[in-house]
Amino acid sequence: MTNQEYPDDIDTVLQALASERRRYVLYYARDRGEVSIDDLATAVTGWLAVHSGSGSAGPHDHERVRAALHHQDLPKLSKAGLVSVDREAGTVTVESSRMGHALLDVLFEHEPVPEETESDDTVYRGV
Amino acid sequence: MSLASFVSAHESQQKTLTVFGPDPIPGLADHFDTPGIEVRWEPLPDGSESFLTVTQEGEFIGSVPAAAVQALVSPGDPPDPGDAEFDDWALRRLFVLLRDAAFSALDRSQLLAAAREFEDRAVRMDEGSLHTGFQRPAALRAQADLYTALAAETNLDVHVYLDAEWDVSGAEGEESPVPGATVHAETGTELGNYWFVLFDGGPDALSACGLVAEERDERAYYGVWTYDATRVNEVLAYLQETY
Repeated sequence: MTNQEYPDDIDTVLQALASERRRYVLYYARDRGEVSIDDLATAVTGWLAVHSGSGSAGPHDHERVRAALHHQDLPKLSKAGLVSVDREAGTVTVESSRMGHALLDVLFEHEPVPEETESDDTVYRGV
Repeated sequence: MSLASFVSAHESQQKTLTVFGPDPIPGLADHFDTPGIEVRWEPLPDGSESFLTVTQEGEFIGSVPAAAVQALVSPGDPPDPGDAEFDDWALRRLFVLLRDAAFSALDRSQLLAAAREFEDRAVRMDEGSLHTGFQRPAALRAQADLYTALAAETNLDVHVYLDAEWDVSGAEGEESPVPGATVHAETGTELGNYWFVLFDGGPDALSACGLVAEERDERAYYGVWTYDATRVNEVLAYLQETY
């Protein structure tokens, strides 16, 4: 299902891309076809943890990302015509928005490189 | 809980270790070649950071940077406890995430890395009891200095288990192979078949950890490592009762 009602509206696309988490959803899902929301949440949780410098993530981080995908990110990306969501199957497919993909190529190159994570002795015990 | 039942109690646990990154990590699947852990690779675009996730039947257990396994897949011996090189929170964290997974076909150096992690944990806690079973005289000889130091320089209560048949008299006229440690020597028991390192966590049950490995093939091991204090204490109670 494509979102023909919102064909590459620049403001809506830029708003959708103005969130790190939503960009990483697209970076992950766009080469993959249909992705389950759970797998997407797993990939994005781990990726953002290493990208943000905290390094590791746990079940609570995953739950936070999963909830945010459901309630904010996927509706926004869907509205911008960048993804289609099958809520019943719990899957996401990235749409072939030419503008969206062109922007993603540029944005990915400009995502900051994460700093080295520091040793944190409390991390490994808090499971 | 005997050593054998400790191992079999964990056999149903199944975890998936997924590498996310532009490239797979060669050697990682060999390192975790076990029925309890499935290693997968999910490609990310070139230029992405790499990381590892651990899931159990779809449930997210945790993630760490891929640098965590650098020491495991690099050639060379595993580092000694206390080494700056081994002060790697990400690897420790990964061991925690993979706890309770049965492993098999690990070779000695891989198991040694896990044992180091537990010994190091005990050293940092500096309290509690550490129980280690050596399978053969050479293994004890290789570790005797380390364990003598653990007994002498920490407040740990150090116990070593070995087969009484061995000629393992201590160096330079020392009667004990590991001065300062309590030595449990028995003949013709399971001790010759199992390699174990168990730490009760001292005052902090969350720090309890242990591995029990049975040598099934020539130098290939099958066993379990866990951070479950209840399981660790069950084995410790069994050891205390038996030896």
